Amino acid sequence: MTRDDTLRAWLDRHGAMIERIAQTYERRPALVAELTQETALALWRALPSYRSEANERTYIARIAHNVCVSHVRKAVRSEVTGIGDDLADSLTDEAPRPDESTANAQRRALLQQAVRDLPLSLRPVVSLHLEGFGNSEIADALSLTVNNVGVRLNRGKAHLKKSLGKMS
Amino acid sequence: MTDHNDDLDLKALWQSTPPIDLDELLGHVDAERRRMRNLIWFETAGTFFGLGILALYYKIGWLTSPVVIVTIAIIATVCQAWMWLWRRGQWNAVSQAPLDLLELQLKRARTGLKIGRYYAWGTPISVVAGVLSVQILPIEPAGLPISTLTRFGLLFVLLFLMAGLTWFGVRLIRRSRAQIETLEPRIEALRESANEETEN
Repeated sequence: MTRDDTLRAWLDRHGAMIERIAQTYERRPALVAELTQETALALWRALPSYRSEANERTYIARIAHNVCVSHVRKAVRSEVTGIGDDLADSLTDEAPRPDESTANAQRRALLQQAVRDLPLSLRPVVSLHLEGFGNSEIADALSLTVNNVGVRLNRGKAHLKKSLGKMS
Repeated sequence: MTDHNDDLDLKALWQSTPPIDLDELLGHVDAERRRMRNLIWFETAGTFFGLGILALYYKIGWLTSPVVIVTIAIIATVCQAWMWLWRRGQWNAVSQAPLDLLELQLKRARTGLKIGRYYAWGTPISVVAGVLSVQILPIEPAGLPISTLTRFGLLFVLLFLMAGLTWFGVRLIRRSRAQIETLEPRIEALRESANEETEN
């Protein structure tokens, strides 16, 4: 399998997850698309260093989070200028996709917003948990201990409960 | 996960996003890869162009000292090689753990600072050393027949090139310093929080 074929297969299997991870760090749709593309490119670059015995999904999630963390770091630096924030707010309507109900889209938008509101230290743990990762997989992806993941997950769930309660 | 949303399967809701447009995404990846390849070619061509200009100056007698030619050539080649390695490091760094990634970014910022210093100081020093050596050393110019206007034109290109490299160096120093100032406290805070959580 060539590098390009592997990338295609990875994106086919995990592309939606990459996009969802990007959505936990960025609410603007254009920037979410950009982050997804950046992650795809980072995967292509990182492919030669991937060892087949490693868990593919965990490896991809780690790269996606790293790309997003770098994005947040850059955004924090450029936030001083405040350019385009109002415009960005006006572009963040979570419109339903053609193939789903408005109610489902709204519920998902609320959940995404609640995850975005989590502190940065809890956000990746909660988002990977929602992706269906086990605690040991989360620990592997984020280089944390399993106990640490448990602690963060409990805190994250408490935050999420509070946020969803307020929103509904 | 929450009392209020017990009836909802949050995981299913979270994962209910439709699949992405794979061809569009791969198209973007291809375009970006082409852009990076072109950038590397452009940088390489720029280095060789600069070296070519210097060789031409030597040939026509504007720069009579081989010392300056060699100095500038070494600086340019080392910087170029460093940039390649830096870029490669940037590509490979992405699969690192978050704290390691920040540390790598800090390392890269420090490397950037060094490269910036090479450009910002090395370029004017090389030019001054070259001019002085022309004045001090009893070297006869190779002296090709060339008009005054062409000589001034070539001098302008040399100065433009040198000013550009110096400016690039200064910019890199400033950017790297800003990065170091942002990263150092964040890494420290992350380490402290990791230690605290481990103790807890």
